[in-house]
Amino acid sequence: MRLALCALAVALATLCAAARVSTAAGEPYPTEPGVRFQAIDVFVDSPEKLAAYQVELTYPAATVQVVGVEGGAADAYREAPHFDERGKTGGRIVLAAFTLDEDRAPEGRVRVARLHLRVRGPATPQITVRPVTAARPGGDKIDVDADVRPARRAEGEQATEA
Amino acid sequence: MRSYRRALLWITIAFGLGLIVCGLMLPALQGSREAAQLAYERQYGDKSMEARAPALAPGPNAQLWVIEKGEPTPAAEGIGGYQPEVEEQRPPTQGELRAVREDKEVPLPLKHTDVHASVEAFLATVEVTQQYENPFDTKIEAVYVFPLPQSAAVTDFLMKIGDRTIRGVIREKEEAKRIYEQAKRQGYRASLLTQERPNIFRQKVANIEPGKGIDVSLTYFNPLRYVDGGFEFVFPMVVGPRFNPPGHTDGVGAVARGKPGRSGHPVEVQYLAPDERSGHDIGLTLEIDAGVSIEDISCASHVVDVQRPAPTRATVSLSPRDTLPNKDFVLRYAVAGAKPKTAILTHEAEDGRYFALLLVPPAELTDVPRMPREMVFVVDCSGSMSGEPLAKAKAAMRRCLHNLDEDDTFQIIRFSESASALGGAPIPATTRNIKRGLRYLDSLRGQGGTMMIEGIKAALDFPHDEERLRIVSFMTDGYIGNEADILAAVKEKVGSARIFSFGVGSSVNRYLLERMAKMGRGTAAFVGLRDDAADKVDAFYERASRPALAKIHIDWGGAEVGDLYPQAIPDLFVGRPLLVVGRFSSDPPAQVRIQGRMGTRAAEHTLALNPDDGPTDHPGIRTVWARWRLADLHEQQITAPSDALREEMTETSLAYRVLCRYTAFLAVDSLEPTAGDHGVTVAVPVPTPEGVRYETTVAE
Repeated sequence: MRLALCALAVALATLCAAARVSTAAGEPYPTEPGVRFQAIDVFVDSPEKLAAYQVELTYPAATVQVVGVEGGAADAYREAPHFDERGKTGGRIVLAAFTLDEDRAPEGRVRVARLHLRVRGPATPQITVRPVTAARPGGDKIDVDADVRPARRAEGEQATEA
Repeated sequence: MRSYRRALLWITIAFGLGLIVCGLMLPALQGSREAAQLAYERQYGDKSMEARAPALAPGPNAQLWVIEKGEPTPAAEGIGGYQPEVEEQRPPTQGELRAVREDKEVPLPLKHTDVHASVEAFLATVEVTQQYENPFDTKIEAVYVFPLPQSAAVTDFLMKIGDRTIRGVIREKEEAKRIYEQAKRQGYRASLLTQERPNIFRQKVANIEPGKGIDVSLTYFNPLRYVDGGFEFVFPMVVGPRFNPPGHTDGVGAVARGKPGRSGHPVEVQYLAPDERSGHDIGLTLEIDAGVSIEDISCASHVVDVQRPAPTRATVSLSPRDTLPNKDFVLRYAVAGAKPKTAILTHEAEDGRYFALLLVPPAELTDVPRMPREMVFVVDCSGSMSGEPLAKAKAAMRRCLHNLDEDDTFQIIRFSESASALGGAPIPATTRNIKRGLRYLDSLRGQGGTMMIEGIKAALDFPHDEERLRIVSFMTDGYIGNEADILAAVKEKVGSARIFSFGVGSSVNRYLLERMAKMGRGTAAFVGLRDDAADKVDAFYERASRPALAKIHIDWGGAEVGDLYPQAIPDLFVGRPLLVVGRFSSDPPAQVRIQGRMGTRAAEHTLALNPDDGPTDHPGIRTVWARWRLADLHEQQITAPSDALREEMTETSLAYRVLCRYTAFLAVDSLEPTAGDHGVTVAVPVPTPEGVRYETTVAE
């Protein structure tokens, strides 16, 4: 039994030393366990042509950070939207975009943006979205729905520039 | 029971042994990755690095540069337009970094820079797009150190991958670096933009796959300078090789291509040798909407095409014959009438009404009699000034000496690694003494380091003649890495002297020269290699000879104004309008009164705002205000650094989304990671600025 306890103690000591070596190997930013990157798609479902939208997303600031805001699938909203990160401690972001081209204004459920996130921890982050305002061509307000989904590359969507 | 205890014992021993084995393997695994990187770099670094590999063993984050010496690789055929003849088939080896290139052309991960600028009134909006493309057969991270105007308010950042555009976020710098490194290690495409100096920036782009490209765009606002009769738009293209005094560890290193880490400084620029060239070129288009008729468009630095769609508008494009990014682009244009009128731009935002006021000095300032002067000329004779820049400085100084009056005195001080002077004290500007000064000028040569601190001490540390106005004129390219030390020394020693800086060369450190002049209550002028030095000197004398309107106070006519920058209004000089930014709590006034001292007497002038009905609103004004606030805080940091100032700068930068030295722009494409590890870091080498000698400025 004493031999077993000694072996266990040596093993634990060796592991601690190894951990210190791996983080002291010269990397300025040692690997942070449990950090991953994830993209989520933001959809707006409009009963008529969508000329402008503004949505607010909330997320747990302790585990989620926004690291990029991408445009959507529809031509009218392909450019990355402007955004406003609200609150000093994070957790809220407002996205907004508009188009002056009535012909290109999409209708129905359309991906308007994609958020790129850095996530800490294994749990799936809870992201909520609510429409703030939306308008049809001409500027009249309309009611829309909004939702978010884990991002997937759509058929034909380029991942890289060839 | 005994068998149970025995079984438990063996299980525990086995478990313990297993933990020991895992623990021992971890550093070995870590080391094997580093060893692989090291072996890879030793084998495929350039010849000199390979020969000295044991002494120069690069660390895991070392930059690697490989040049193929005429061995075409079928796998690389067609990349970047190269179409080599296959003379010899050599099978690729594991991890080899290869690129096929035309004879003598160095393959770069930066293919092209595109600049698109528009000017409304006196404010420029500039979008800079850098097109990165991987010409190698393995994944890379590209790193590029480049300049922007020192007052640029960088406010937007986009990463473009194919037809996808990702807008970046602004974060505290260390946090942004941490996120970028994590994304890089996990194989995601990512880009990071940091400010290393007010006029030097560093771009990193991670995980660019072989043959693929990523574009990075940044946008900034920048007020134009009005200089001696015209507005001036400047776009710098290359960071000049900086000298860093011995013992200084936070400088900007200048090393030869493929010699990373040689300087030991955290920021480093690699330079192409004179016989090397790269495919990186630059395109630039500038659209001007002045609001009033534009006259006399000129560009001494580059060949340009000019289109005039209307009398108040112009479109200027860089000629395809002049796209090598090795000198500042400087465009000047005059507007109708003798000079512009005082103008104000405002912008109403959620958090207030911001304004930028261009104060144009009244013509009456020219009537003030001049005081006798004590002219102190300080000439940079370091290696970077060798050749054309020093010749230009000498031409300017000859003109200065001939313009002296007999009641003036003068002194000439040269500095490189040390300083020496024409004489022990300033001498009267008699004909005989001026000839002596000209002979001394002719004897000056450019060599050695740039110990500018020695020049400053020599110029400011001797007793001042109270009967004269001491004017200290620095003639230099400003190629130093310790700007903060120099500016602190100037502030400490300037006293009642006035400093007028002359920047000489094709890619001058304008940030340093403008700040020195500001601290010395003077102005800065810039003489490019293709400029007429005589014109610049004559204009300089016109300013330096007239005591400025000093101790300025602005009467806003009842309007409520706050958060003014600069907080201390500088003196007003003939030919040099002043820009003041702030916030109104009420409607802007129709006119302002400037009160000050003109020589020994009080003076007051009333200036109408926007009498020409030019543009009055600009969305960039809020950003410009934030940039000026950051510049003011930065100047305080130079002389009295504190954590509180750092926090204030960080908060301002994040709140207004304007880049500063304590924040960074970051964009990560988290849709899909790229395959394999993060590859090799490749720096983008740049040409030495036009007129600067590689041999005397770049550490081999």
